[in-house]
Amino acid sequence: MRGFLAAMYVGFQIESNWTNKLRWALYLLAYPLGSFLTIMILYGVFGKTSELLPFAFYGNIFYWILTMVFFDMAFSVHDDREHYQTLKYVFLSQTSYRVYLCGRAATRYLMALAAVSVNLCWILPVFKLPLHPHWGLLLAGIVFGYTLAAGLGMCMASLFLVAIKLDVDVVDALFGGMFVLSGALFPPTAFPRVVAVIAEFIPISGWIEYMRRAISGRILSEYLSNLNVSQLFGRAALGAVAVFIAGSLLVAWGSRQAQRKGYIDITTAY
Amino acid sequence: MKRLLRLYLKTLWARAYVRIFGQMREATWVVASIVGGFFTMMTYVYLYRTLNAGAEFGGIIVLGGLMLPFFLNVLWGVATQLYWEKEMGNLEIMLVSPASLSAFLVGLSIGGAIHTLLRSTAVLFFGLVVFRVHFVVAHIPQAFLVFIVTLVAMYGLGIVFSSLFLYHGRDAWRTADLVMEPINVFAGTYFPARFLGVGLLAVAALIPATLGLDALRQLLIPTFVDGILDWRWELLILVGLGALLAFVAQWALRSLEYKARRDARLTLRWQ
Repeated sequence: MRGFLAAMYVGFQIESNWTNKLRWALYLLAYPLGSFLTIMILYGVFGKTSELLPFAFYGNIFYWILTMVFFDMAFSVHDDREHYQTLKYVFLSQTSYRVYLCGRAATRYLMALAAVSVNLCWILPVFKLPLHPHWGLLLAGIVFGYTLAAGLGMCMASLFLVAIKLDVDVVDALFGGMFVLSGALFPPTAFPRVVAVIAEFIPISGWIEYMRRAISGRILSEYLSNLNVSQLFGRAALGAVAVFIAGSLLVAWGSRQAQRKGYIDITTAY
Repeated sequence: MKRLLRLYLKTLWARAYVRIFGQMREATWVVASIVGGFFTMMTYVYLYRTLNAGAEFGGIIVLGGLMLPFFLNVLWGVATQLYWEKEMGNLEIMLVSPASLSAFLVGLSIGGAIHTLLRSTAVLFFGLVVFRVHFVVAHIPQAFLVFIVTLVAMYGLGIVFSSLFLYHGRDAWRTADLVMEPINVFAGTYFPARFLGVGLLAVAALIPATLGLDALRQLLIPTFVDGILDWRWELLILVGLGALLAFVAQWALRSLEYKARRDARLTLRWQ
């Protein structure tokens, strides 16, 4: 637990100590807006003719929270190894690398949640998004979200541990693919049948739809409308746990491989 | 004078070479950037299809997908480059050499534009084939001219920002991260810039990609009716913007380099 808290603290310092706290708070609040701008503008243009935009808006917000965590975790390997050259010290310490990554993920997740929560205070009334939250379901969803994001982040981190020349473009491409398939912006029913079926069983899809229902209290599209909240709960929980276990195993394997290959303290200047 | 010019061109080529060929050495980088661009394009094509928007939105998105890698290259490959060179310890080596920083940045821009062109063309190709988008081929020479002028202006903007990032540290990196998506949106990558409304459009027009993309859409998409100005006016504004940015870039680079030397920030890492 001490290692986890220390990792959270390190994460917080890396994220925030580049400026004073007031400016950092403003940065934190402004940061997600860029990602929601497109939807806001499209909402203004097509909003009157489509019921789809609350679906897209919520989906975009929840996907953004996940990306903040897994992008940061993937990049933290490269950053700690090449930029700050501190990865070797993390491996030398008593804390396992998995715990360190989970601590970093927790900080990022809390920051993303805080930024989204504050912004939702004005987004919800301005865009008249449906809001009938079920607080218990929402709280459970937040826990699943962390588990899912940390799991995905560990999968990405393991990839960066064993590959020293990977560019962030690789992470961008993976996120782009998941964004398309997850049904964050539009129901994957728009895809050809085979792709739509694959999309339905991606763990992120279930979690995002669960969170939409938990916050809006409504079914916002036909996508996964055949599942009730309990079934979505089960799917989101199962998906999150499965991804977390997979991520943990991959990080353990990646750490061993990186140590064996001498990748823990290597600097390539890429 | 001849010796200086020779040195300038040699520096320019040396940096451009790394960008053109060095970036091609890792297959994963090339594939990932093309796949990433394609996925972004796919997301918005399907979103518009779901919204039952007009057929012209396919072309709008494909052209946005063509320009997006250039914008990302300008931001992460040119604007933040001096910051990364400083962090890696290369900047001090570059500064003690007789080569000029501006030659280094121009080389970086030319090399970056060439290697990004290959990736952008691949994204465009997949967009055309997969989404069956049709363009007007009669205006290709005009579109090519607009495209080149837009790139010159965009990379000029990148060099202006690189001077700022030379002086600043991690805050510059954070700023780039913060402005990336809003600039992308204001440039009208995912929709016609006219959707922004007059107020935002006035600000967005300062980003070269906004007018460039709008002009390209007017020239290549037969049913595109949401243009801002006539494409000829947009081209003229882009030429002016390019010249202005080239001048500002030279001035900013000199001023910020002096300021960074004076404040001992050229070798300051991890700040």
